Amino acid sequence: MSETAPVGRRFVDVSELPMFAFGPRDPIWWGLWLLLAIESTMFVLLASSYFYLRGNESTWPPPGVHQAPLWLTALTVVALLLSVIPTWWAFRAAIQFRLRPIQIGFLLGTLASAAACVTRAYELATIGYNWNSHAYGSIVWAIYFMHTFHLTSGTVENAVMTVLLFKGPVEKKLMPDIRLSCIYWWFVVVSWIPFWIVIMFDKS
Amino acid sequence: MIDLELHVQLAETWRKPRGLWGWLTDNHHTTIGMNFIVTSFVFFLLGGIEAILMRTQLARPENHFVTNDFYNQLFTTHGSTMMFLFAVPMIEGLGIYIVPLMLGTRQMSFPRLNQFSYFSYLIGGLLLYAGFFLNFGPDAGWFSYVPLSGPEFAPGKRIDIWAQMITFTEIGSLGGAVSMIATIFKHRAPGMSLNRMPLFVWGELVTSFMIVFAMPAVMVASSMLASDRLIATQFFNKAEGGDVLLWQHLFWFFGHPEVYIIFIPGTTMMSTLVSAFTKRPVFGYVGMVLSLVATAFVGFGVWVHHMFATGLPELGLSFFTASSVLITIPTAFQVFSWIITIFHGKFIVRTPMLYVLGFLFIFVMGGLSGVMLASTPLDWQLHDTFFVVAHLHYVLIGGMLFPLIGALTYWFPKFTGKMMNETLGRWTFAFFFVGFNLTFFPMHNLGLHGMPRRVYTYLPTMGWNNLNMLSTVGAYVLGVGVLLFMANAVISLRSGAIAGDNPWGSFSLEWFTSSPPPPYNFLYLPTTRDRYEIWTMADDQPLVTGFRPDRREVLITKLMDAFPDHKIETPRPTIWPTLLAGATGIGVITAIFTPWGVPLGMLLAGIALTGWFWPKPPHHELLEEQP
Repeated sequence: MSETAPVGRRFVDVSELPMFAFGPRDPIWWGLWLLLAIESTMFVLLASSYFYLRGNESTWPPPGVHQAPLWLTALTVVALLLSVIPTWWAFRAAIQFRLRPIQIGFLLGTLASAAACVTRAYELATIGYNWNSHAYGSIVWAIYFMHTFHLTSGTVENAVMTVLLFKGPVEKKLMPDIRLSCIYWWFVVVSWIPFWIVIMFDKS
Repeated sequence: MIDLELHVQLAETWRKPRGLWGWLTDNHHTTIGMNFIVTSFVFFLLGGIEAILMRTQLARPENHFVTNDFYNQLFTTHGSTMMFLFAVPMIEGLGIYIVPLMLGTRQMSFPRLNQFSYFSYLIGGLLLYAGFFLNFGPDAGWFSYVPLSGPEFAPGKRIDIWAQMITFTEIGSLGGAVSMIATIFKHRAPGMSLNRMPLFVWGELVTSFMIVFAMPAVMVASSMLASDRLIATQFFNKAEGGDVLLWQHLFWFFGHPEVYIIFIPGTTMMSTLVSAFTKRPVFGYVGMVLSLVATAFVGFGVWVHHMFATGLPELGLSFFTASSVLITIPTAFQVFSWIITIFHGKFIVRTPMLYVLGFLFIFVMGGLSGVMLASTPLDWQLHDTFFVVAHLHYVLIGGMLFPLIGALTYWFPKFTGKMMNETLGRWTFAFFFVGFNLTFFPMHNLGLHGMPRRVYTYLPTMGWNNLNMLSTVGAYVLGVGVLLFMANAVISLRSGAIAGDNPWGSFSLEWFTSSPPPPYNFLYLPTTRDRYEIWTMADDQPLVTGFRPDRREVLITKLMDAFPDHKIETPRPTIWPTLLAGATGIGVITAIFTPWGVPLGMLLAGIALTGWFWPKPPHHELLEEQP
């Protein structure tokens, strides 16, 4: 049932138009990318602050700084990168309206992101300086905090999505949201890589 | 289905919940927009009262009307209120109310995000004033420079209140901006391609993009300040490798775009009023749009001109002087375009048009003193004097408040269905214009005579007595103007002339529906075929039909040409976004006292978010495969 046009006027009938769309046709797609623009600006400003503070120092990081073990931090990176593969299946399957690969993709993706949360927790526990030790400690902990915040909230989001996908019923119009969840998760993954390189390898 | 039946069904579907519960749960853009407008106007009054108190203190030398400590709280709260709690929320609220109507749609893209934004903003404002009324309001100025605002020189919780207020209001601004951009891109009436959008919509679009890239800077900065104060991080502590100028860079990377965030919508209100009251399109539409975009871009490259006195390298100073002066080009283009339009069009002198003239005079003055201050040697002389106070008020009151009062007078009939009283309106303008210039013009001279800003008193021998007294008298005259405006609003609301749909014979689509608009905005959504939609409509301009009247369906159109693409169903009233704002509020306010507020806030926000996004019983097409 839908409205009908008033008599005696020309009209544009939109009753047959679909109730959702993928990609930039979808307002939520814009919402997500704007959110990522905001988040990216924050990350860029943190990076700028890092290099601004670095410019004041002759030795960087300050003497006596011990990072978390490289293998441990690399494990987090590996877990993050691995999570991209199943979420990519889900991303591709969503536009084909195939539920099974989406379910599996999100289940595995959530497991990988949960693994990254665990190794991140160990990373944080083994960092050999505090946020109040010096400005270096403050900015690196701020970067860690920001990313860990995204990491945990992204993992929770993936987990909730997985539950919903297995519980059902699943509407077709959830499919664009599936793809957007994947993009958000990839942002969490990709945004860490430059920070990881800088924290682990930037020395003067 | 005949019109009456459709009206009844749509009115039921889009019915606004009433009472306190309605206020907490409604997400309709007119409700949220009006919430923003009314709340920010209340904060404007509070900020104005603070200004009056300050001027009363400064009226005479060695005055003891208020204490030095209270004076510090006054100017800090006044500045913070006007920037964070009045100007930006007012612009967003006006946009949230008007833009969807101008676009010919029934709702914005993310209504619940708007609702969340409003309540975040409200909590932030209440937090600031809770501190202020308990006499521990922030006292380090609206830009809270470290080290003055750092843990060493500002013990207690005053600055923490300021920092967390920033977090709230910026969350609110960012949410509103995202919603605004998506709405402008995707909700336009069929036929309203990007190059036909009303200039006011362009202004809100450009402003929203600026918010997206500017506000994160102040959130990062205020978070650093809060953590320096709460958990002893060392961002701004020189002894441990921190840097006080980092604060200034981060703050002004937000702070200068903030000025344009406030003033770009002001210029597009100008364009709206100029067209409506000259009955012709504003000269140079494309140039006007490009001016807005150029102002936004250049606006991100001038922040260091607030820091000329900090001992930066000379090359940097020259660069930022040049970029600051560059701003005059797009601005002058706009000013000349308005003048040409007025010169060639009819000249209908109604109250809003008076504010247009007032703007032209005051804003150009503010712009010229800005060019003066952009020159480094002069800035060194005038830095932190009353000259700067005069300049910034000429730009912001001229650039934003005058167009705003004009625009509120212009849109009052749309909001309420009643016209504002014209005679009272003219008197209001007279008090505004005279009071404003009387208050702020003498401050130029005070600054040139060396009176520093933010001093609570001065010696009688300084030669500043008469100009200060003049300025104080002006502030009271301006205050009378504000009272007259409010009296006019109340009287007109009760007994004003009935407005009708389009009392000004204006051009954009908000005038294509009744005043005030019904909850579904348009019985049939309009289509357009050119700029200045109503003026250029064909006699048999098609309408849009085919929505389910029992659901809150909204038409989504293509980004560039606004061709009908698909529909979405927008949410009905819900409490979750308000609860999320409350959850964030509990977390952030707790974080003033203990870092455990952060995990607490995350936990509560997680619960609220899950409630928000938990799927409703399905009523759309299901996937063929099901679990």
